[in-house]
Amino acid sequence: MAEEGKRLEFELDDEDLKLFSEEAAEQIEVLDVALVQLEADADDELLQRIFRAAHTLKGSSAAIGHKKMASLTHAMESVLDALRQRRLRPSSEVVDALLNALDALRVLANEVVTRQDSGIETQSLEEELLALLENAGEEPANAGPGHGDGADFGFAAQARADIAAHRASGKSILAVSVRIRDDSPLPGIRCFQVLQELDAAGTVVATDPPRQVIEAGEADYVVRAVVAATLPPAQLQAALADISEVAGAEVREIGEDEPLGAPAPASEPRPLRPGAAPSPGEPGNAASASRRAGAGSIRIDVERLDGLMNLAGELVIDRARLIRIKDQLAAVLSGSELAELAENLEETTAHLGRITDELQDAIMRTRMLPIRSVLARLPRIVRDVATRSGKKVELVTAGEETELDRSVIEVITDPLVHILRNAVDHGIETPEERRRAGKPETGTVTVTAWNQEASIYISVKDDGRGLDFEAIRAKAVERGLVSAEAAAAAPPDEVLQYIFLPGLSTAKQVSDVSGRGVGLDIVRTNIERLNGSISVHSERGKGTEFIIQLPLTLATTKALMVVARGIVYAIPLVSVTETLPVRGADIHSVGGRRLLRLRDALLPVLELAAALGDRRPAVAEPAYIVAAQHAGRQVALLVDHVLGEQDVVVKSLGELLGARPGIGGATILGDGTLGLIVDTPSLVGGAARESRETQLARVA
Amino acid sequence: MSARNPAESPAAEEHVVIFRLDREFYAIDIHSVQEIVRLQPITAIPGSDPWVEGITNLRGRVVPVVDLRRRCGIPESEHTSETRIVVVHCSAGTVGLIVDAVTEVLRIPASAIEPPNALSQSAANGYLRAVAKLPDRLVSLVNLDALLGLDEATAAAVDEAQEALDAAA
Repeated sequence: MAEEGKRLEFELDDEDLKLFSEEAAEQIEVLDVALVQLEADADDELLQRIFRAAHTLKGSSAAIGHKKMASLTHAMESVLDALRQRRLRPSSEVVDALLNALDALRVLANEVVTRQDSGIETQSLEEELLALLENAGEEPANAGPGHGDGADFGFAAQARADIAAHRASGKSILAVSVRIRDDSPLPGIRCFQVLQELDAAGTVVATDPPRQVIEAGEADYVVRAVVAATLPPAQLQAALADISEVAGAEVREIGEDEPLGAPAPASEPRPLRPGAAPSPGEPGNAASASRRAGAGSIRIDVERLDGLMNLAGELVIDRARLIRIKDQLAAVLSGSELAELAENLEETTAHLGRITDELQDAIMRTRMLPIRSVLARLPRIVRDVATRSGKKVELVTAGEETELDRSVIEVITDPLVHILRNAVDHGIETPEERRRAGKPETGTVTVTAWNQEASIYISVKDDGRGLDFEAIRAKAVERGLVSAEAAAAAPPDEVLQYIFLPGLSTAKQVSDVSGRGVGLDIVRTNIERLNGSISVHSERGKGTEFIIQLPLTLATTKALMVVARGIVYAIPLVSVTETLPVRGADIHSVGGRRLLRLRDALLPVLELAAALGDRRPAVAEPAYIVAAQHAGRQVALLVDHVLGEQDVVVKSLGELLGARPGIGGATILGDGTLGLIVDTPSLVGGAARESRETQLARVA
Repeated sequence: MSARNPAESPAAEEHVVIFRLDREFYAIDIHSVQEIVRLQPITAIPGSDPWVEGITNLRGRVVPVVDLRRRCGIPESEHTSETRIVVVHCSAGTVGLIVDAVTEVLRIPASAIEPPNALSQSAANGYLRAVAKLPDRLVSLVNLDALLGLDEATAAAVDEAQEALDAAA
């Protein structure tokens, strides 16, 4: 702990850092998902995947000189190796220790980004892991990684003797050649990973370049080696081809009567044995090439995609301009011979328009990702919460293939996790309660995702105790959120909405699991800010279901376009309840404030421009009212004109201007100028606050 | 950008874009200038700082625009055919600066560059990093981050300092 905050140095530049962080995050994610599965079903394929992830982490952390991380992953790897060899059972004790170590790995990987010592203590974690091994069975005599000490590749007498001994013990001798892709920015690290893979596979008798060079990360694009192993060559080859940026891997068994490296004397380490391995220039083997091509996907920097999106957006605007020019031309040229030209222009703009729409759509689709990565994180969360709250819970997920924009993926996780924690912590009963209620001891939480029109829906459903309507009523009254009369008269549907009110939590005790001071009100506000919605259904004794709805992308949103004091505003359509002319509207003045009576509701009346802080004088008398709502509160916004509905592309105002209450961003209009997007939650929230303050002032 | 800071690397010359505000000349390091455009439609942002003119559409990007006259406390004047928006990169991102005119691009020898006069207004504001003495006039070298990164409290302090200087003058 004393070292906390100390500056750390790693052997990598910014580009390497990015690669390291991305890879570490990926492998940690793999471990996170797979370790939880381990308890339920420890098949060979899963164990292999886990081992490989830990192994890769060990390799890359060692390569950048992160000793603490390499040492911890090494301890994890030892345990995983024992699991893999079935010397150890994946008990919950084992999985706990591995998950704890994984949490520490996250912190350690982050140290590389911050270059600050987090002060995290890994010694006890390592000891805990190694203690597990004491209960493990004996290591099989012919397995286990050994370290070949053949520094050169000349098959010194010792190496030959080793090979003979390995052969005698029933292992095959494999000649390995691996080539790293020419464009790899970190060939040294990849070569080191190759060496690690070989160490894991068996005993490395000799390498070229020598082991020390590879371990120092100084190898370049080719590694060749002789390995004594028990696994089939194809398996090792596949494992090697799986390492990032490996262009080709060849593994070939050397027969007993084949000459052993005869043409490779110590003084000439390079040529291993003619024909034993492809030369660096040869293409990688077909198996590994098809493995890579088979996925049919590439990684693209999000910034580049954003750039493409912007360009497509510009095309859309240019198209709108062209159409305007065409209209003007047609008006000027009507009746003349040139009218035919104008017609041609019209055809061309129409075609351009179709292409632009398709292009924009295609680019939008490149940003779509399956929701799988979000759902994959949930088992761990359910396991943690269930363990701490003494519940037995099974998580079922469906709709992993549902695609959504990556901008939505980034924001959906927090609300989803919050609701899921609630479901396990508060929704599902203890095993004893469930037994008494005649339910199976293990509760089920189902998370389902699906697309419908331009929205994505995610449902979190539990088969727990359901919400207690009377408790919610009582709590809402006790907290002063609603009057006793209103609560008593409210139908069940309305009572359910109370759970989204600020300051209402029905959990009997605030647990450290879900009682983090963030309530469902914040969840709802965050979802509505993204132009989504959340609904809840509950049945006493049967369970509760939350459904989150979000737009497929945050890049565009449907909005009502209005004008106020010369500025065009886009009000997201999800918050608009209706529009009506001011003339004939039922507006009353009460205590200096104006209120609109709309059927049986009274809405505070705000002039949109003034409410947003526009201090310039009004240019016209507002002619229209837009009724907008957030979190069940409605306001009446006065605007000069209403232009109509439109899909708008949301753009940030930039750092200089920052977040402004009431304004959520800007959008490019058909004429190339900018309009402002109204952030209804903060506008309505602010209006409600103001009206409460006015009321208080009047009371005082 | 730091490598081009004369304090850190004594370059033989500075490559700058020179613009005019009222009757004074200012220079910005050419490497922070993205482009110079004619005045184009700007959408006001309600409730923003008075020196923020609004936002403009620069080929699909939303760029905030600052009125440099207002930022520097110079009385406003009508825009003319010479008025330009200088689009610069600074720590607050890409920002457009409305200036009265862009006059030239120049290489100024380091020998002509001196630290600012401690008593000058712009030095008090903190956004002037040096003064270049050209044969025919003085050019103030602007520190963009100081010019655009001022928070409200600092800005208020700057205004006070400026008033005090005005009173002293």
